[in-house]
Amino acid sequence: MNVYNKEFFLVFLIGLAIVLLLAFTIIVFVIAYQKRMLNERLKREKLEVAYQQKMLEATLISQENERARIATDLHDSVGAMLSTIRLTLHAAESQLNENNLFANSKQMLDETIETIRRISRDLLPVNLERFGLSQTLQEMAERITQSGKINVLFREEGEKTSLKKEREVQVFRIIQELLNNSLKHAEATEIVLHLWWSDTLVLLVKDNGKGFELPKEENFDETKTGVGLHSINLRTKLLEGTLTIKTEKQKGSEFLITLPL
Amino acid sequence: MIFLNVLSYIQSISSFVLLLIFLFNYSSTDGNFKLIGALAGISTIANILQESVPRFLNGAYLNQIGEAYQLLSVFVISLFFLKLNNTKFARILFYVLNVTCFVLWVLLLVYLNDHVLFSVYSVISYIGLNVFAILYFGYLLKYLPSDNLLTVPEFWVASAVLFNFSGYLIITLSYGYLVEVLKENTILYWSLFNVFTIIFYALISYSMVLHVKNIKATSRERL
Repeated sequence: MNVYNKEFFLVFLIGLAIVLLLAFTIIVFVIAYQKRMLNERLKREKLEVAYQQKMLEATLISQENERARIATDLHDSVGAMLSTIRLTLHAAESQLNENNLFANSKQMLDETIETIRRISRDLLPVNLERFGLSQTLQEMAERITQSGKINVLFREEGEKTSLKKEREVQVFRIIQELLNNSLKHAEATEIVLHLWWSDTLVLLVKDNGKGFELPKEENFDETKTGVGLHSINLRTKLLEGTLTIKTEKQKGSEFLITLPL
Repeated sequence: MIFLNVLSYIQSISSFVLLLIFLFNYSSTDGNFKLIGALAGISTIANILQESVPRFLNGAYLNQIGEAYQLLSVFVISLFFLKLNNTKFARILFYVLNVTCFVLWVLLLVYLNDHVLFSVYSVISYIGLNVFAILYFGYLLKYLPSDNLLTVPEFWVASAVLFNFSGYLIITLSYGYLVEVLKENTILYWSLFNVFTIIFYALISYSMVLHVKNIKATSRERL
């Protein structure tokens, strides 16, 4: 190989190496750029989820506060005023002969006072703070069963773990909403409420009602599914839990919620 | 010479292996990878013809077979990328590249063994295919698939095309000098062509295996 050929060989090799290096750089750049972009997208999505979670938490907390305020107002103001009226009526009854009229008015007033108490209790579950979730649910199940409309079977298994107050309220609201749904819409005669305590809290609410059509959307849009299911889903997400729904027309519904402890 | 022959046989086997992978998994490949299968088929036929035809012509080598294969491979590979990234620019490039290559191929049939014309024909087709591969990379950067790129079969095809045709391009750009100056010493350079082709078919075969795997996994998920 003469000098010119050697020079050409060298230039050829350098040229080939540069072009191949360029091709290799493009390929590596595409891989690295995609990885970087995907990581950033993941970070952004995480931030968005965290933001939405916080917004949701704030909404639910303000809702709880508002409920508490209404419950206190009802109990302390309206309830107290009604009790005063009741006492006044009782005093007036003894001075007048129209006992029947007073008896009817007193009965209506008693019912109104009871309704106010019930609304107040539903809005602000005082027992939850005093006696805890299990006791409150037990009482709620007994109260509904005693109403005679529906039989609520409450069962609990496993070693109970104390929950943070905010989480306990959310769990209570989920169960309250599920029981309300069964009472109002399912036309059920029996509800099973089962709690399993372990590393997770598993809630099962099952009724023998008419069932419903499960929405296709995973986020249970409230315009399509109603506020109840949407709120249950939101609260479950807030508690970082999972919600599984099984329902069949005329065969009842089953809600299984698993919450981390 | 023996070294070049060995490389030439390995190159023929590599495209044949790709053809076998394609044929054994024909039902598990989509339209785009059927094009890759067609490319393997064309390459295998071209290799067989290049080996057998000269025997009937008393050893005379026919450039026309390689040139026809090149024309078909440009068409198939550019169509593969056009189907992946069907933009206005890609469509224009597809028509311009294929029409230009066809015209040059016809001219090569008229002016047999014209080195300059062959170089122009090759350089245009290699640059065109490299642009298609780079356009596909641009498309990947724009639409960012959520999968790891190393598991995307089309990414391997684009990488193989870019790597292979960049190498071809440099060899072809030196073609005139190689033929004029080096004469008998050009074997080493031509063996590089075969090395690039072997790498090309190895990468494409890997992408075909990945593609079949992905398709089978998707069908299992559906079941």
